[in-house]
Amino acid sequence: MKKVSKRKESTWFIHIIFAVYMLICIVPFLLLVAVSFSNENDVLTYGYSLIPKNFTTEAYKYILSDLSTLLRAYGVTGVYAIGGAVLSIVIMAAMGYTLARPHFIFKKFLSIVLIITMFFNGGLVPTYIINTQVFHLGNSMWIYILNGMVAAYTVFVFRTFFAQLPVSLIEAAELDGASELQVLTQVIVPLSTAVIATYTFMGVVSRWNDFTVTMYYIQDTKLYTLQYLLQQILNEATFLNELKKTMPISDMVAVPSETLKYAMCVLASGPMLVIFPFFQKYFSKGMVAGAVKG
Amino acid sequence: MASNSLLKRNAKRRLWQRNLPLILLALPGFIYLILFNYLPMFGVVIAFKDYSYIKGILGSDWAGFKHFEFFFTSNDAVVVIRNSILYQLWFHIIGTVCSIIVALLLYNINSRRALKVYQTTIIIPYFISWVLVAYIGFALFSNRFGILNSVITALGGTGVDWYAEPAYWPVILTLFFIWKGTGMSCIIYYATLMGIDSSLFEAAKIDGAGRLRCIWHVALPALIPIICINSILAIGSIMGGDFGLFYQVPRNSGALYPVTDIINTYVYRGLQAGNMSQTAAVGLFQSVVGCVLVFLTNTTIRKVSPENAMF
Repeated sequence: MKKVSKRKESTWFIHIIFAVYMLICIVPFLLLVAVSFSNENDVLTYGYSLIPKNFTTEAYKYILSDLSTLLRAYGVTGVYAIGGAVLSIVIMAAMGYTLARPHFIFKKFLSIVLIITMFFNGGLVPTYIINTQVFHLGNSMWIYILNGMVAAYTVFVFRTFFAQLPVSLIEAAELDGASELQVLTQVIVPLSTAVIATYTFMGVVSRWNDFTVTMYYIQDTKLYTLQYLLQQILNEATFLNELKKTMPISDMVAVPSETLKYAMCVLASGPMLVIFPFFQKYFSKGMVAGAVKG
Repeated sequence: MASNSLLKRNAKRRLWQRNLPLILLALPGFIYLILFNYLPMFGVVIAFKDYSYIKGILGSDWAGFKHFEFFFTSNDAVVVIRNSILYQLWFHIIGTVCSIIVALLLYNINSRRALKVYQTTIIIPYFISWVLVAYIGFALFSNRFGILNSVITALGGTGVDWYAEPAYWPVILTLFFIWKGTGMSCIIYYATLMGIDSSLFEAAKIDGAGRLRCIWHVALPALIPIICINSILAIGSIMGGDFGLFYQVPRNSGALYPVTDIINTYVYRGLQAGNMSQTAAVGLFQSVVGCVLVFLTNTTIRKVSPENAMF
């Protein structure tokens, strides 16, 4: 109790530090939102501003008039993020489980195969050539699913976590006649939900935020992910113009370019920004459980 | 004798029978690794060839060390290698320092509710993409509309053409790096601090240690194993660097290459330009250096303090 009272008197400055830190984390997003609700002419004359001079939803109206590009990008990104992450976790958990079983004869061999991938890789160009010229994955949905499916580090995290679960539970299940697959799915996985959910979530986040796979492998605009779509809108004036042409109101002068960029940005990343932090409380526990001596 | 060998064969068969399900479980991942990790490793031979799409990897003509020579004698080599190493070292040091400071600050907060709010908020930047960071950067640094130039002109100065002015970018990149990553990377340090037996702190206090001395003599020693592991991993990627940060945030602006171009962005532009063999040579160099450094560091750490070595 004495410790608490001693601390109390000097923690106020820590709270102030965090208040400032939190503002630095949040304000940039408010800026994006503010610009998206700004009047285009205000932006052209006064620049971006944290408080819109004239509040308007004009930019959003243009985007909502033709949602097909945005919705398709959502669909592609969703399949990439969720499909890719789930498949990858299933394969990695199965692998981690075999490494956690003491009687598995290829344990050492498989560990070495995994470790080597942690320290050496072919590099971007050979990987690109193999994927496009040998497996013909360029410009297809498959590259999204297959890219980076097995990460050695995660497999080892699973192995370490599975190995410290009580062996007696596995033995009991085996006595009851459970197969290895049943042990994995009915004993191991239910006991490891925190770690598995954490790594699934991390897999979804990293895929959702990835722009590189599209940039390296995809030319077809129909297969663009949200991030790549946003990158094109920010950096390629021609892409924005193409996009504006598809919108029903064809008066090019009236289409708000600057605010449109930011409205697109808000619509493409807003939902996830709201959803991700909610999961955070579930995963910080699993993060720590997995990472300690990985 | 006969029964003995029969027994042995039976035991062997039983071993295989017990292992077969495990082999099947490990097989998809194993096949994936062979196809998508190991095949590209053998694909690095194109660094020693003149790769042509028509002739393929095996059919292309050998070129010896031509592509390595070309890279190392170019001006680009000095710039991108220097940038990669300096940024990675600097980011690792400043990133670790910031994470530990934030972890220590969190550790000193008693209110559970405040703790939750702080942690949830400071981690938000970690969850956004580099593309979104580029938007934020553009809103701040845009030549015509950016907030910074508005502020500068309002104060009577003249606006800066940020995306053409290399001098500022080492600072800008560092700030974005810290902003995005610290909320996440402090978690592991914070968790380690929480794991310290609190009687150690009390004992230190009884011995008359103030807050700073407690940090120095109790908290930091507990963090050293984590710092070591992270450092080994960081040294392995000393030639790497976050592609998203260095490509998206400076918006691939050519004027900034002297201070923003790292091996990863250089390699991507090589791929884009279709210089397959030259670029593969750069990538191979990067990979080999990383690999050698990891083993060297780990061996050194194993000699100095074996309990902190990674393998």
